[in-house]
Amino acid sequence: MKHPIVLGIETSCDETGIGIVAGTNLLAHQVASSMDEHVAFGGVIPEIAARAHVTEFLPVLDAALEEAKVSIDDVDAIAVTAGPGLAGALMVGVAGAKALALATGKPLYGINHLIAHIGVGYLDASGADLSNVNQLGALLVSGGHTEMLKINSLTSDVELLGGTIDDAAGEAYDKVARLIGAGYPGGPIIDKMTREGNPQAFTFPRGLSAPKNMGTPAAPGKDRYNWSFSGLKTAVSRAVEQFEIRDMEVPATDIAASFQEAVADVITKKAVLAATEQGIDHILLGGGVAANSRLRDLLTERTQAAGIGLTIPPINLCTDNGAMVAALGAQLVADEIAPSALGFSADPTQQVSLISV
Amino acid sequence: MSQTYLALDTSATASAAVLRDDDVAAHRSTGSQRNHSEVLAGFITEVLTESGIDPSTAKGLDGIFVGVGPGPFTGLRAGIITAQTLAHTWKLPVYGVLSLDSLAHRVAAEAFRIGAQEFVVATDARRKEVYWAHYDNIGGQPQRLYGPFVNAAHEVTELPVFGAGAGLYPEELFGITGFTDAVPDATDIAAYGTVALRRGRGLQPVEPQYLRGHDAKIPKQLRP
Ligand SMILES: [Zn+2]
Repeated sequence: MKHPIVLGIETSCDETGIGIVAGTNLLAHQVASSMDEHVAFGGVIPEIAARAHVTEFLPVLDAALEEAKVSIDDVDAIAVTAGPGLAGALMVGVAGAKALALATGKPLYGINHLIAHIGVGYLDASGADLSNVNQLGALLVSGGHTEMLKINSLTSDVELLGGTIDDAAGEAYDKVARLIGAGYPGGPIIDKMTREGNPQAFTFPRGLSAPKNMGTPAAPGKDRYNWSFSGLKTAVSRAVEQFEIRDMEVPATDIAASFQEAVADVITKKAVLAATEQGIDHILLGGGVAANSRLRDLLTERTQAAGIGLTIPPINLCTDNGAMVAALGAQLVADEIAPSALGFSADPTQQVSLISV
Repeated sequence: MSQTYLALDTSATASAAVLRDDDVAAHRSTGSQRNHSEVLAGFITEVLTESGIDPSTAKGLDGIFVGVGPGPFTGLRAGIITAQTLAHTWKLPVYGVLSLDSLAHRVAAEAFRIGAQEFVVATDARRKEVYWAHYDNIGGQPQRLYGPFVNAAHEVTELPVFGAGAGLYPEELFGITGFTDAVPDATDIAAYGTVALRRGRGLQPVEPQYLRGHDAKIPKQLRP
């Protein structure tokens, strides 16, 4: 099938997303978020997210079908995020998708959320031109993940080059925003604060960047392409304390700017290093932190300097959504990958090598 | 006129049944409390096919009953989102049944036989608690007086207790022999649901009966 109509369902975190594509053409892109309900807690509360998915599932489904001007009978296949993600949240989408597949007799694909972030780059709406790309790579940065991937084949062979060994970058933003009393979600708030701050005011650590972590190109250290943000978070916490114990006003904007500089620096440096050494000539950026101004600027600058192409899709396609699930689903159908059996499980820790279950 | 219903319950174990003119035409259940979203779609396909109904059209089906709990959240949601989505796609009505009511419906005849005018139905709520409700027995027909609640076993009203909650807390609860491992099942949901539908009362909105909040606490730094 050349341009299959695929409906994609995403419930791995706090967004109930349903999108519809025809091949690489985006037909519908509907998202309901429970973000407002998590704000008071300074982070996503899994049970709140799961409850919201139950309420939002059918309204979002109807809105997507209406936007695409198709009926469920017109759909060729259904795709749903099977993992990784929050267990209770994933389960709602998986159960709903199975019911939809069962009630229509359509094939169902349980897919990998991380690979779907890459799949969205194949949509015309992403603005990517991948036709002359030799070796595609992807950098995913969000509240849930920080990964550098090498895409040998989107539907059958994706390799994890590096990832975070502790917090995701977005989580570090949330924690730091909390430390400096800035609110939640941390990403956009800190990004805004940095405009008033001096990114050189504090020198915060770039995790896993010491020679022993990095090794050499010939003898790479095991964390050469990995990230760690826990040391950075601790350093920010100490800096805040230093001011508090002296009863001095915490220079929140300088701390925010210096923190952001450390994050953007270490992420882009390692991503570009991995790309250069692994023969990647084009990077696709995905995940909510793709909205971050400093990360975008620095990544643009460094990929250009290294002669590497870069695609940053529109931000509403970078954050979690159903269109990316549908986009990957359409590629799986086009590549004639077999659909999933209806007995599959949601897998909160699904590995990148498992593209569809 | 012949009436055929699909019923689901995932408030404790996962089960599916087709009820045709008050008789069970097909039934599947698992003893496991953990894999609801894995087994449910398969169960539904099997009970429908066995009853001569094509799952992709549901022609011949008149509606769906679903147990709305109370029950452990993740499993409970799997059943409810499944029932809602099936009904929505097939354009059929869907009705909620309090899972405890359906179990009360099953045990009421026994309660009447042993002379229990009032009784309690209790199931496992984990975290050292039970989900329970208090019923009056009117000639073998249960009438819920109080509940549903979630409490520690010693807080439950002192009456004969039916259901797996009694088996878990034999010191605190006066369990009725033969019913101390009973959990709600799709066949009970269907039986209770059809009676309630005929009477025009006793059905619930199709939404999970959580009874508990989400338990999240606002971190110290964010408190005003
Ligand atoms: Zn994501």
